[in-house]
Amino acid sequence: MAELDDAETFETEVDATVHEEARLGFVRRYIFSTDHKVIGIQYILTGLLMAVVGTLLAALIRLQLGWPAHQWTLVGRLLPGGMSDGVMTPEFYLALVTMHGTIMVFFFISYVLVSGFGNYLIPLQVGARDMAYPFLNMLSYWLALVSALVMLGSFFVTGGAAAAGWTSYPPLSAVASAVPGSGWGQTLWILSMALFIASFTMGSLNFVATIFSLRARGMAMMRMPLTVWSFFIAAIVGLLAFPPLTAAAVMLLFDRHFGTSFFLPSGLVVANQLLPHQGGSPLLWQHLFWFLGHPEVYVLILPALGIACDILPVFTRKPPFGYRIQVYCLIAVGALGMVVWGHHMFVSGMSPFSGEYFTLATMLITIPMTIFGVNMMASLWGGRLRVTTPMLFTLGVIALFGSGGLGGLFLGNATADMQLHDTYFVVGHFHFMIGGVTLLGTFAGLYFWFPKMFGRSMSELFGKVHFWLTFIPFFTVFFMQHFLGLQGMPRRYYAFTTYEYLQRTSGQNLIISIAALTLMAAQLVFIANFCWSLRKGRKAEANPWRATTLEWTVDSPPPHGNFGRALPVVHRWPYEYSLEGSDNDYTPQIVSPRQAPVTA
Amino acid sequence: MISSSTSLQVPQTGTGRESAHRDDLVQLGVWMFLATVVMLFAAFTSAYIIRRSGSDWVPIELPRLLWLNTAALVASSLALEGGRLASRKGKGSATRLGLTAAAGLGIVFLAGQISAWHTLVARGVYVPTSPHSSFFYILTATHGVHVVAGLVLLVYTVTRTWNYGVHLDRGAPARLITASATFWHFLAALWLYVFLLVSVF
Repeated sequence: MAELDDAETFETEVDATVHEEARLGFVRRYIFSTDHKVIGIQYILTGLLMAVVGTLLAALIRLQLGWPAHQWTLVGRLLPGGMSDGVMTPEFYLALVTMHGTIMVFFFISYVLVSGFGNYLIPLQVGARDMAYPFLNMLSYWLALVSALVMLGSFFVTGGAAAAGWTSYPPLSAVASAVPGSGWGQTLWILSMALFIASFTMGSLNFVATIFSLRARGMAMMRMPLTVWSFFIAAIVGLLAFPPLTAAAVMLLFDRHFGTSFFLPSGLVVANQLLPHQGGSPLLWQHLFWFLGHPEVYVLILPALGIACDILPVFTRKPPFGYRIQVYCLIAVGALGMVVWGHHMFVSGMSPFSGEYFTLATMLITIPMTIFGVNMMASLWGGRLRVTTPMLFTLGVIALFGSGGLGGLFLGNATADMQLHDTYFVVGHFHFMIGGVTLLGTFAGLYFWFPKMFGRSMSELFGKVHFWLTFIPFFTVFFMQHFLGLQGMPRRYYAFTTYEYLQRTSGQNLIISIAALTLMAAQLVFIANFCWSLRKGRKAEANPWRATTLEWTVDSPPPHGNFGRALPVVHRWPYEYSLEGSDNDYTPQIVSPRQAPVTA
Repeated sequence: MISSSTSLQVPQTGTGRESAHRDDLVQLGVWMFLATVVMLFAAFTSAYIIRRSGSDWVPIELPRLLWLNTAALVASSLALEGGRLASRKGKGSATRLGLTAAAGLGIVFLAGQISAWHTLVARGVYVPTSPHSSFFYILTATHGVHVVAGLVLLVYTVTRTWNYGVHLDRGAPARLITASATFWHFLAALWLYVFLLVSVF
């Protein structure tokens, strides 16, 4: 308070909400809460639980690929539907790959990284008491939960969960009699996605409005942490790219249940029966799906990159390299990300001229992405590295972003993609990027902000063990999958061993399966560390990492209303480390220019 | 908001940044929501254009009633605008009259749309009859769902203006009226667009 000058007193505000917290009962405080921090943590916990489900599905996939047609008696007893005698059915395998993808993309990474961290961090980092529309925010979470439950529930309906892939291409997804999962499972998949989109739209509205209108005084756009910038761009992209899938979902539902022919072509024979549909275009669904699907990967990966960019300066004790350029890159990627969806469809039979356009646009997007990655590496240059757990995971983000990005160059090019399309090269590539960069970014964020969220620190030792047991198997699994792809192994094949040319990949698949199961087992270290630290972790002070952004200026965990009586006033950008003329090696954003010179 | 026990100096403008930004926030939220609706209909439009080129496209004859419905919705929009302008001058009863008329005409529009569906069904034109009819039913239904939401908002606004009395030209009532007007005008414009799409293209 002493450092407030006259101008700041004008911003002083006596806040009724601080006292309000005590009046709220348990239910309004922790369950039907409108506090962005509680909602953020609700999203994170829900997403982590969904990740457990998604991981178990991946384990089943790897069991089948590592040990094809092996009889797993014990697993069979647990899953009488899909593995009644211990041997997995092909239909169940298809449901597994579909639901693994859907759950990981939409219900793990979206919930934890975007909705979870976004909700928790945005108001704290821009200096607001809460989101712009707190009630909408609560509604967004509860819709998200219902959406997740509907998706999980689809495992238990007749025919089992959806099996048309996470992309739900028709006709498999449009004809209820195509495979067992095309029945009720697919209908629930579509409903769940519609709920997800509604929920995500509400969340994105909040992100954009909060960042636009509720920034603290002095928090110019160009003084926002890159984390906030990445959420801002991701939210705008989400707002514009997600609604079209609602339209597509409505049309798909009508094709399935009301006899229309939006996506179903003429002369389709399913189960020896000629379908009455005619004239529809399966390609239309692909366009509409990827108009959401591709921007979605940027919605997920940008926050991971933003978080990485903000963790780097804390542990190098210097500003990130090229802050402004990073912001411009985020904007450029957001804009270009909206117009490159066709690179998922090079072999769909679309016009080669369109393919050429999508190749060029995709190559164009590598420019800002490369600048971004190189800037992250340059941010390490000349820094005094403190290799803590969050920093390790951040370095992992850079490593995977670089390696995965190289694979993208081949896939973004129509000529190379014709060969690699739908092989394990693609699986390896997107697991590095949308799987790995986001996963490691999520862990980096969790270890970094855990003290702020729960007021206790996670164990560094177990954190580092967790990192190495995650990174090495992860890299092994998906690096090797690139080579499976080069050998021609297609994705989503249940019994690759029936093809002679793929039999020699059995050994590689076995190694991948062992590495994958190791990776999954290693997450137990994280779960144990997380649960133990929640109760017994070392008490965290307000600013354990000696960082500069606004959330570290308040208690851990922050009180209801975040900032006590007065909203903070921002005097500088968020990266004042090792400032000349300052006694400390870091200068928080609220320190006035009288006490330390302002560089940006 | 301001407790007298504090020794901090609270100037006249010190009602907090949040409330100072409320007006912008509500309007920003409405516009962002409309952007998502625009994208929704953009997707339908692109699907329409692609499907239009199919060889099985048989245009259906649209019911004449749609012209009346269009007139009702445009009149509803005008009535709402009249109400909004009255609210600016603090005329409570004129505001409520305008808003109520707008809601009433909105209901007329919806009833007309359902009646148009009945006309088509009576002619044997169902959802799967032709791609054109599929799109007609889906587009009108999707628009109709938004109109229902708009009606809820309008009715809510009407009931709230009762409580606010004469102070309609600023603060919460002005925000609410502006937000409903923005949304409702958008829905009218959206209908004109949908009508044009299904009847001309």
